Amino acid sequence: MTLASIWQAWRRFWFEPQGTETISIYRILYGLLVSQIFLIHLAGRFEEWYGPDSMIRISTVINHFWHREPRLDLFLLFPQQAQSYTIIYFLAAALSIMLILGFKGRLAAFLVWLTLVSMHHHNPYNINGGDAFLRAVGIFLALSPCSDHYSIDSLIAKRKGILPIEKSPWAQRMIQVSIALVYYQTFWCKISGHQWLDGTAVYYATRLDDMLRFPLPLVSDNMTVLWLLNWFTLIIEFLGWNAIFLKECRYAVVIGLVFLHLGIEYMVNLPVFEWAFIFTLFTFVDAEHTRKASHFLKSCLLAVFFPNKGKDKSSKSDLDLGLGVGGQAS
Amino acid sequence: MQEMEINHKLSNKTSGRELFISLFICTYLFYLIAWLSPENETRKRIIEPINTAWLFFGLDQNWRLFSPEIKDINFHTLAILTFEDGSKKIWELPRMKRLDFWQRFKDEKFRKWSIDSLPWPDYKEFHPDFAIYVGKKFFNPTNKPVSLSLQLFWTDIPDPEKHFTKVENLPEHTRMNNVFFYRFKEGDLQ
Repeated sequence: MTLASIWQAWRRFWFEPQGTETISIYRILYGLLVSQIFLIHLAGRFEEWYGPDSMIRISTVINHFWHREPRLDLFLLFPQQAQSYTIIYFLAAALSIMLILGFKGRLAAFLVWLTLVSMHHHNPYNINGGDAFLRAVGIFLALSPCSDHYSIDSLIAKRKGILPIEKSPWAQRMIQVSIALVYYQTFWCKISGHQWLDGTAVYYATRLDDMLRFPLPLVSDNMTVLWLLNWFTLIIEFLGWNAIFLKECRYAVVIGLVFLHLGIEYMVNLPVFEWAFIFTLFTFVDAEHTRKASHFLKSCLLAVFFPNKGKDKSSKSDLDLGLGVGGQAS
Repeated sequence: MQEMEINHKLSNKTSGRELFISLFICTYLFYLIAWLSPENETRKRIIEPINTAWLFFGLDQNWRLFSPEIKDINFHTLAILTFEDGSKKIWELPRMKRLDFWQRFKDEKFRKWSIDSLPWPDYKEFHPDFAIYVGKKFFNPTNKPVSLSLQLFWTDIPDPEKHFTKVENLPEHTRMNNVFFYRFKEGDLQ
């Protein structure tokens, strides 16, 4: 091993051009979660959480959370009136829709990130880990070519004769490294406590009555199953920050982690939280596999909705829709 | 930046852009890993010079999810508002256990705030804001609110080694603590 070979390995990991289908799908998934925050969790309540008469006043936040140091909070640029917050709310909701549709996708991602940072600084006491994670990776989504496929931007580009090309995936890699660091820290924190090592952690986690969603007595009322899940969690979270980067076992680790999050999602009511991680695990899927899967899905949809159309015509429809089937530059 | 993207596999020559981004990645990950490390003197020295900028951009992170220890109590909070004539109004903050699936899903931010933030000492500076918020919410000009107290009702989750308890048999929140008491001042509720 030489320094030059290490440098080449570094370059291959961060900069070797790849298809942009996966990060484009992630843009849609990320946008769906942000829309969920605005259209469901904050609908009709934005002003109550962030407005001038909210339950947490910004002056107290500045004194006791910011410690009178500067923080990025664009809300303070607006007049501190209820109407301002109504406008901010509708702007933010519109941005999340723009992100899903991929209309000015990268700009929308950047503005969504600015909005999330502002919200979390303005009222830091109503966000769970999922919200915080969306904020943590939002800037990298904005720096990625996230609007090259499955977007209005790609349709417009196609009309101009510009096809999406492979690009260096460094921003997507940063999102991958970000989620790996989540598993890194949570793993080490878990094994520094007693409950995870004595196998009782999942027993307690399934008995937090403010967070219960659907009952699953076969799991939650069986100590052996709880003990097995306890150790499964530790093992899969350990693999989540190392083996996930090895091509040979990447998908196995991703599937294990998705099962972990789906299990929590079923039993524990933590909206946004689990899906923020499940969606981010999707960034580990090869662009080639995403391309094939989307092609297959589109073929199925076309067969269902346009059964009389011939194969050639279907392919043409794909291209006409600007959905980027095999959209690699020649 | 898009124009600079290369449309073939990695070239042999390192570009200035790659060097610049590599420098950014190394710097960011160095400080992020330091940020996520356990608190000690070395971490403090590394973080200190960038602390303000890091916090300014909301780059602070903490992923101690369900760790190192999971709460071994169940609890909920209740606000009691006292009016001029001595009458009281009890306001139970949205309590997930009593909500249907959709309302529980929708009101997650209330759960986070009222369970994980409101009753705990780290939040004490915000208690007057909360009192004023509730006072305004139930303001009656002919019988004004005079004080508010926040009660915490709780119970232990039984130790599985001593008394394994099924989810449906979890005990009620029968213990109570007074979290804070606030007497409204002139102008608070205007």
